[in-house]
Amino acid sequence: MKILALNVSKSFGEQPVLRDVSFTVPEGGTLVLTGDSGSGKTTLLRILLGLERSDSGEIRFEERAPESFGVVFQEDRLVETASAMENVRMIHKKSGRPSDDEIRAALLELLPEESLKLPVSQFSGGMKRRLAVVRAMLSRGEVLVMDEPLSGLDEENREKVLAFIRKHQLNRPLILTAHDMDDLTGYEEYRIPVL
Amino acid sequence: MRAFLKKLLIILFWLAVWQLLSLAVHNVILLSGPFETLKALWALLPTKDFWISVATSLARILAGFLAGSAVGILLASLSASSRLAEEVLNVPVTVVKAIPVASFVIMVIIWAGNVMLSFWISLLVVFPTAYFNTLQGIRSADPRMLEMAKVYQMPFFSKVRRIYFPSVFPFLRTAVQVGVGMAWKSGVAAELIGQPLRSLGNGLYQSKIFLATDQVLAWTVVIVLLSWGTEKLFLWLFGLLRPGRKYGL
Repeated sequence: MKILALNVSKSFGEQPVLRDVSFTVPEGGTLVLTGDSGSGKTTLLRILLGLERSDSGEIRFEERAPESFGVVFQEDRLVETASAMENVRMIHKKSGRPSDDEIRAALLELLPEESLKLPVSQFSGGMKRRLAVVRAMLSRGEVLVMDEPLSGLDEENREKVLAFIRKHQLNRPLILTAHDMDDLTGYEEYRIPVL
Repeated sequence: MRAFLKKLLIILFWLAVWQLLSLAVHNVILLSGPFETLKALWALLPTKDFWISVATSLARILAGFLAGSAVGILLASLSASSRLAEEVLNVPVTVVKAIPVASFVIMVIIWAGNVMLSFWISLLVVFPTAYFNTLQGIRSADPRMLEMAKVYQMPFFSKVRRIYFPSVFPFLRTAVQVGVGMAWKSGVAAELIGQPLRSLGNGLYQSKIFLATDQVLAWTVVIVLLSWGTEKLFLWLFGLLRPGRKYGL
């Protein structure tokens, strides 16, 4: 599946946020959207997810529209009273859900073993971020969308998360946002200007 | 332990106030003291009728409470799913909430007789509270979590269990706390008016006819204890459903 953004523009009242944003993400490709705070990165992702409408232009999915997305939101949006395992399980229908062993193995790639017995409310900010990434990658989402997935992580965990994303991307297009390309060399960048 | 002793002392203080008042009034018909009340209760305890009255009223009132809660929760879920349904349902629920218990009692006696009166009255009194509290809880679900559920196409039951239920839980807990007391008060009042045989309300009425104030107070003590006990029981049972309970949250 290929993603095409064609002259996407969006304003909130009198305030323009995005103007004529155009890019392409090839099948299995990754695009990093960079830009300063307030440049509209999150708004663009929300338009892509169908949670906001653009004023003009469009985001098109070639072949067909995806049935679902794997998403890391700016805030983690996890169920705090549930465990990491339950947070991953709950987004899946029974049929087609990864096995508990698969989920556990994936979680252990980014989280310490003892954390699997805890509710998410007892996780640190970094652990919640990593769990949000695992949930997105193990989802059946045909398109992966991540809003600053590396924020709040130390260098070691940033590297681990990037390696995890590469391992589990499975030819799905990925769009992620970041303040800069420091940890993301080798990926294609689209810089959104502040209007 | 200290908190328990404090509570006990407070109860003893009020019992002493009651005793002093009854001594001051010096008329057991106007006001029986705690000792006369206890004596009357002691006399009621070995009688078969007393236990049948307690059991039938308890069963009817609690069944009414549970049915009222279930109807309220179901209708609130329906209202939350569509604005039109909410507008249509709000009218009868608001009307039911405003109708005095006495009017309901008369209507139920006409339509259904007096045997299950306290069941119907408890149901009608509890259901608007359950309805409005559930609706408020559903409406206060975190929109960001609902957005997450939408993009992930989260299964319906997961969404209800993980997003809606935690938001409804505190509202429903309040509904349980308020509803049990309301069910008892209205249920017994209905029995007092409708006179179904072998019921707590009937026991109160019989005591009133014979101006046996000590017995009236003995029945009242029983009703208060039943109301308090069932409220605690339901709150405990409801607490078992608390989100995150298995992690000690």
